[in-house]
Amino acid sequence: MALLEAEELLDQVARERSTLSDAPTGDALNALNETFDRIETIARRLRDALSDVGGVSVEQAASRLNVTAPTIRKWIREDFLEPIPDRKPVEIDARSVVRVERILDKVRETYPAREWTRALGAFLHDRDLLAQDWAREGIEQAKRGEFVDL
Amino acid sequence: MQSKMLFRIQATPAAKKAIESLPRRTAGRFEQLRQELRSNGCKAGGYRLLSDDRTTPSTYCCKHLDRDWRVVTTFRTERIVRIVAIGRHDGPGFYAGLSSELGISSTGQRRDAKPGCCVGNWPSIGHDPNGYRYG
Repeated sequence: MALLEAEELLDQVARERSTLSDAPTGDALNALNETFDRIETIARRLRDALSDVGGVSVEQAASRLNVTAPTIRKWIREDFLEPIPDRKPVEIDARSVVRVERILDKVRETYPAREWTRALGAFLHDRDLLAQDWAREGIEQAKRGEFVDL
Repeated sequence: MQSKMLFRIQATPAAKKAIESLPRRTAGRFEQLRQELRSNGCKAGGYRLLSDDRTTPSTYCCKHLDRDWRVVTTFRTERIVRIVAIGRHDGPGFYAGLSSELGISSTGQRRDAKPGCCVGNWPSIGHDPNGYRYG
């Protein structure tokens, strides 16, 4: 779980830094950027050290995201979470856990409490639809600009 | 009397192939949709799908064609409709799975609170680097 905390810290630093990039320049801003540089360096060292030990277990990811272990396994099969190759038992890349956590947080923040499950359902529905083989094939062709007149 | 300007319709090769092999009843529904798209553009496109990494709308729309058949479209300019993909999606099965996976009731979770395909006047104003136009 410490790995997840390090990953989240790195993610948060990146977000704060992107907010700062829109602010006017000045000494205070430069000092803040330098502080972020130091925090990022420490967090990166911590993350790298913890990554050597391994990724996040299915049970840890389930606890963190507040879902069941079968849901975590399903999300791995659907490429929503990224497993670390050649690890038995399964270990999950901490970055993908933090990414999914952000999505869940955003859904909860964006919608009132009574509606966030509906919004999450809609998000997952659309994601599931666009992940169908037939949809992926069409989207890939569209991205390449392959169209014919009907 | 001035004639109404029709939308041009294009499809990916995959969508075209799917159209040619639709079951008879579904093919009839698609022909109806094609006429609606030709006349009304994104107004006939169904609802706007959410993007993959956030809760904002994507550049794709989805129209329920017949039973579990779905048509995914996008709009390059205001006068061109592009059919990206056609296929079957087991929506009810998906929603039923939600209740066991996330503790979300499958009841009332249909994708009904959804933005229209033309939400924000999309695709009539605004540009992005890929040439898509947004409201």
